[in-house]
Amino acid sequence: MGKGGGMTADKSIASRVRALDVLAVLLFLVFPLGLVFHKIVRVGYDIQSLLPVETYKVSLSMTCTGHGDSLWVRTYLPQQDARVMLSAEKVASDLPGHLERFSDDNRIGEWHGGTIDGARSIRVEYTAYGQHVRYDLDAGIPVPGPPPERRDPFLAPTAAIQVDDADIGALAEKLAPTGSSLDAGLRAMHDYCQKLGYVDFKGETDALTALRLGEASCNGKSRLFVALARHQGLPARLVGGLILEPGVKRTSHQWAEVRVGPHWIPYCPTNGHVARIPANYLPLYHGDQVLFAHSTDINFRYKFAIERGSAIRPETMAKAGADPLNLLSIWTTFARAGIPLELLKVVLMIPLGALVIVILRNVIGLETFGTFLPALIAVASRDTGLGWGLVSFVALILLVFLVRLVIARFQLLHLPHMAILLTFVIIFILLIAVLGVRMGSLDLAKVSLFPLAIMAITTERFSIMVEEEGARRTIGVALMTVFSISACYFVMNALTFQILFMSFPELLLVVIFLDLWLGRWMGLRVLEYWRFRKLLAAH
Amino acid sequence: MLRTLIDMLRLPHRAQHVLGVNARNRLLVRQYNQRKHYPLADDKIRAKELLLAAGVPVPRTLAEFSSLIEALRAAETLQAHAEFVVKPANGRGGNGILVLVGRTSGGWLDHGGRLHTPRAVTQHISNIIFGNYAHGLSDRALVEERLVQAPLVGTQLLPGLPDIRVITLRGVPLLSMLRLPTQRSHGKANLHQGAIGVGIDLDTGRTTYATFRGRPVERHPDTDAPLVGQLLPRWPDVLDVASRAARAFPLGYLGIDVALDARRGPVVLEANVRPGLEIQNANLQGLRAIAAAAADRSVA
Repeated sequence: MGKGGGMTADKSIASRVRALDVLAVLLFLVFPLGLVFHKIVRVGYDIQSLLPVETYKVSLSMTCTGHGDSLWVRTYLPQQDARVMLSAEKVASDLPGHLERFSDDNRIGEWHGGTIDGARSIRVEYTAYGQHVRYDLDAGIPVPGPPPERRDPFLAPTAAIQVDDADIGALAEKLAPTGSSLDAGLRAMHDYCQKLGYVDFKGETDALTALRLGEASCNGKSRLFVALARHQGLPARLVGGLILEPGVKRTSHQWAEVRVGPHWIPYCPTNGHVARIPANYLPLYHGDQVLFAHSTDINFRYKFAIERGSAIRPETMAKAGADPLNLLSIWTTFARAGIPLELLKVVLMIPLGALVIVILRNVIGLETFGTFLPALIAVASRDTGLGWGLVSFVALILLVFLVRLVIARFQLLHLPHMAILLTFVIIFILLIAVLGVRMGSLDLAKVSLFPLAIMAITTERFSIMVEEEGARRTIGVALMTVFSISACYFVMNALTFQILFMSFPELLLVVIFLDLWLGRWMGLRVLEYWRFRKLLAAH
Repeated sequence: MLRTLIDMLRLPHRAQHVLGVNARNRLLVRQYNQRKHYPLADDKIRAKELLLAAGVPVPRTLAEFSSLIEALRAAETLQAHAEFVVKPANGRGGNGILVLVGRTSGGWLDHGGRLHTPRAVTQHISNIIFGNYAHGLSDRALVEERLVQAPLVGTQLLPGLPDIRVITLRGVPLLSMLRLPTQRSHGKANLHQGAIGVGIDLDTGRTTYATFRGRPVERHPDTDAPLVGQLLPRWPDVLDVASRAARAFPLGYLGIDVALDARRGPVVLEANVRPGLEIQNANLQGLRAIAAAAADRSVA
């Protein structure tokens, strides 16, 4: 209450809880924050390593249209190595046959089907996290010079890599003389290729053509680089892959690698990377290959959709595994028990989602269907992404509204009425899933994973509210619910929060402290300032 | 510009007079009303038993139905009555209330002149018992006499029953308003459904201010009757009945709804354990400071 007159009730609450207050501050604020402090200062938690790293979610979709013949499609799939981490790979297609095989260093995905008429789609999804790597070559290593025979395939000429050509040979010797420093020689070869003009040419350019024309696209420059290196006795190969950046792209990228001792050293003469590879280069195949191959006489199209995301640093997870004070250490135990890590992450975020709801309702004054429903819907939207989560929520609300209009005419009793609505919800979810698979959209198909119980509750709340408070108000509440879902989604999916709570689970006590504090806060809600604006102006 | 800014900065100070949902729930509802006693007020049939025992005037009960077997005989039971009101014991916001005003050969007529056959009335009572208006929980149906509306401001020609909401703390009236149904509210007396809220001076029973859909109004939008500055009939009786009704419950903070019957004077319709806050807008007066002062007095 204000300074003027304290309400007696106010005072009695105050005296009763004063002793408890001290206890609450100690237990829910001093203790957890002390533990955090202890971990950082004494145990030596590295805050830097707790911050999430950038990842890319890649969705490759391929469509092929057959004309009654059998068809096949083949492409290269990425592989995890010391530099690139891959996760959440999903493959879906409506072609009957799929196999994966390894050839040389490469992983190949193949799809086939007999007598296919009409369009079919294939979708491959994965999340990639790469690191930037730089190699320091010892300046003392010499260029070996042209070998007596070229039996090593990485030294041998091919139709497009004309190692035997006299012009290429002369240029190679000039840039990297036999016996000179290999580091400087490779750099000179790289610089030469980089200085060639760049043309955005979709087709293939061989090494010699690149040299003669003095300009090339990425594959021409890389082939010339490989030809020069091979000529001087340096085993080299092409690498094809993706430059990961958000957006949709239909082009892949090629660069080169030179083998020095046991290492393949990357060079990208297109973008000027010498003995280093940026974090966002994702190799798909090694060697002079074509990324996509398919049976003739079909219409084939593809695109890569790339989204930026974030993930926990794998090193951090590995390190934290040994620390008993850290929830991350429980992860390994959980993983052994077959409990997905994602589940732990989500469960840990629910108290935070609940706190968001408390703020939205008690401080801002938003109304929502059900109390903690928005937080649960936000959890459910985790797989599909917020966009699809909201779309399916709104679509569902509309569906329930329309179905109600029709079955209201039957004047049914409450429970059978609800059972019918629930059945329609299930039919709707099935349709969406089927549609998703047909359209080759895994996201849409995943809507079917949207937990059914949550849907049923939503339906019921919505239905009751339309009946009791009218459609107009219900729509308003639906909008506020959509807003609340989004707010919960962003907070609960913020990796920073997830990592913070996993590293410092004691912060859950701080959440309780904030709930305690908000539970005693009696100020006007933000929206009440608007509701009582005339009253406020009159005083 | 500067003035607006200064006004903004003074808002939290001015807001101390206003009762928000947070303060209502924690200072008043939580403090004065024990949850275990809610059903005594929420259930209209149980509330009526308490009120009758305390000698508070309430509408006469014509029948009660608590099972489907009883409901099947509803038309028969109600045969003798030409007009009556059917209510769910646990309905909210006026939902499920059926007002029948006269009889014809085929059944009963409502305000709009629509026919309700005995079968339809039986069906309605079954729906109430099945919990259609109580979130699917089984419920009871209450049939009461229809009140005859005593002349109040601008209410003569309208369907629906106006009532007077009195907020009480330990039986002491704090704030009151007259709630007038409109065409927009479909005869219901709830402000958020489009009824008019008219503020009343507690001491004199004279109306002071009126709001309709969040805006101040001077005259009734349907009948054009003046709303402000009117003296309500039998005001001391209304307050006395409200106060006695409030004391009949083991609940300290209540919203008592009183109707004015032409024959019997004030009768209590129901008691609300969590009365709405819109009454502050109807009176252009904050409830928080008033409640605080009353709480101090009741202890002193």
